[in-house]
Amino acid sequence: MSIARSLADAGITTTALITVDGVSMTFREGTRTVHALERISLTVPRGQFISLLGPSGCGKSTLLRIVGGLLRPTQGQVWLEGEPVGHAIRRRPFGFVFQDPALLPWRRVLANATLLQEIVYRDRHDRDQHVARAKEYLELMGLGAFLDAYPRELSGGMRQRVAIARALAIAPQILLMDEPFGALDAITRDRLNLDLLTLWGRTGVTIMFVTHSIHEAAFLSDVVYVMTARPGRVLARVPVTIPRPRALDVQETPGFVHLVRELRGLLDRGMEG
Amino acid sequence: MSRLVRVWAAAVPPLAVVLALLAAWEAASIVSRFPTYVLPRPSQIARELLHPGSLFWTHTWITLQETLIGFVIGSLVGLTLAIAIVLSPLIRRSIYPLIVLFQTVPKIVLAPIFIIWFGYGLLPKEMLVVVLAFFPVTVDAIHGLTSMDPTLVDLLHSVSASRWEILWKIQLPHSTPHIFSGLKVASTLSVIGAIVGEWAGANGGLGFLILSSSAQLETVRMFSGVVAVSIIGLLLFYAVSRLEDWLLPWREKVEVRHPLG
Ligand SMILES: Nc1ncnc2c1ncn2[C@@H]1O[C@H](COP(=O)(O)OP(=O)(O)O)[C@@H](O)[C@H]1O
Ligand SMILES: [Mg+2]
Repeated sequence: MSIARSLADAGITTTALITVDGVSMTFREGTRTVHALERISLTVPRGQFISLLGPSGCGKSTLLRIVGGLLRPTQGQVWLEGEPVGHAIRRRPFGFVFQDPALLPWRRVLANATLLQEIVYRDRHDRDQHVARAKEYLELMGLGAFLDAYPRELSGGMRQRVAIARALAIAPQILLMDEPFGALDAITRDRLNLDLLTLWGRTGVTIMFVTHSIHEAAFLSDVVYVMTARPGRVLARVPVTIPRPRALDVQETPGFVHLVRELRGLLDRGMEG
Repeated sequence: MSRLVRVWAAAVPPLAVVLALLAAWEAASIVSRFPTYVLPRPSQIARELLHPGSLFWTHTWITLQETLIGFVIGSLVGLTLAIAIVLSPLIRRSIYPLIVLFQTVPKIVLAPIFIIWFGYGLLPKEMLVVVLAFFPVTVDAIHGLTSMDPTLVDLLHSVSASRWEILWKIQLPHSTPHIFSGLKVASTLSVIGAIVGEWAGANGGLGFLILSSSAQLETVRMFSGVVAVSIIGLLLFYAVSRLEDWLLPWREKVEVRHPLG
């Protein structure tokens, strides 16, 4: 366990990589307005695994899109080490993984994994290096034997693995994941959760992970932010003290069961508004 | 099963039906004693087609050129228009409505006008083919270019992809199956365009051959012209389909089975 992580476990935040500062978001469509987020503030320390947990429609995806610079908030600001995130990502983009792997069906697995590198490094394009890096992550994700396969030949879990390798291949310091395993069956999901933790440990990437699964949030995270239903607010910041490395059977320990109960209680409170 | 075997297995049943129909036709013509100028026998048509000295191949060559040149130009025009319409809001607002409006004009009425403008040669026919062929390509290409997965749009914005990168790496390849649907429709319209163009005024080509044979009650020759036009249409459609299979090996091919089979 790293020092930063032990400090975080003790409730002490070290250097914040991402600071979400009073972010509100209101969508307007004609006369209808949707108040999606209200005064969200949170910090993500470098190297940590942070989850956003909340019911469907509470604005998790919206918040992640704002953090990733895809959407401008109506109020507030997101900072990356003191720089507005909109600037920061132009120099060094974040990695994104969505629920839909969004692979290109006409590219084989390896070419899918190099797609973002072609764009990010367009001025210093080095094909061999890109291929080597994409291969490395695909192999880490257990896809070494499928480099020449087309996406349609892969299972849902394998496609999501390609999407993760593609995101990491641009060497992001931050990986934003929006319910990446939400469409997968429980067994596949467990495997991917484990592999994600391994990958996170190896790369040192900072992860912000959106989920509506209490177990997933508890199993993966250093800190879980619980959000309320509309408008989305941060209801609680729950540090997870379960020691790492975590195996699947950690879910049967009293500490984990207790944590799950606590998170569920918070979610229920958030639903009541 | 190898590819060749499968192709043959698919071709045998329709081929058998065609042969049976031809045999029945042949027999009926002999028995009924219809005069040849009303109903020629398939064997007579075949002899006409294969007859070495006939002008038949010259006419076929003319129609084939009109069809192919018109088809290729029409497809390129259609594709270019689609890209321009998708890329430029100005063109989308100004030209696109006109194209749709133009489509409601029966294009065939343009044939005599093109004769006046472009003379008697191949050009007016090719122009008619272009005018008929471009529209389905434009419509299908626009559909393909604009039906993008929103997740993919987010992903590309997250790495600040340029408009050209999105077009070149995502939109165009994504739209290729749509473009090929348009090309298939355009291929059949192209043959129609060439024939109608010749009917409006020509001194060569299969449309000319059919029309002049009809006037002279040369029914055998007329039928041979009809057969040749059909073969051109079939071959062009087949060529486009094969090109599609070759260029888009990633496509999921869905085997359509009979619901009761
Ligand atoms: N582009 C948009 N335009 C209008 N409303 C939106 C838009 N995106 C999200 N919303 C609304 O904001 C709310 C939060 O959505 P979302 O962030 O997707 O929630 P979650 O990811 O937690 O399920 C929902 O009510 C949704 O309808
Ligand atoms: Mg969502």
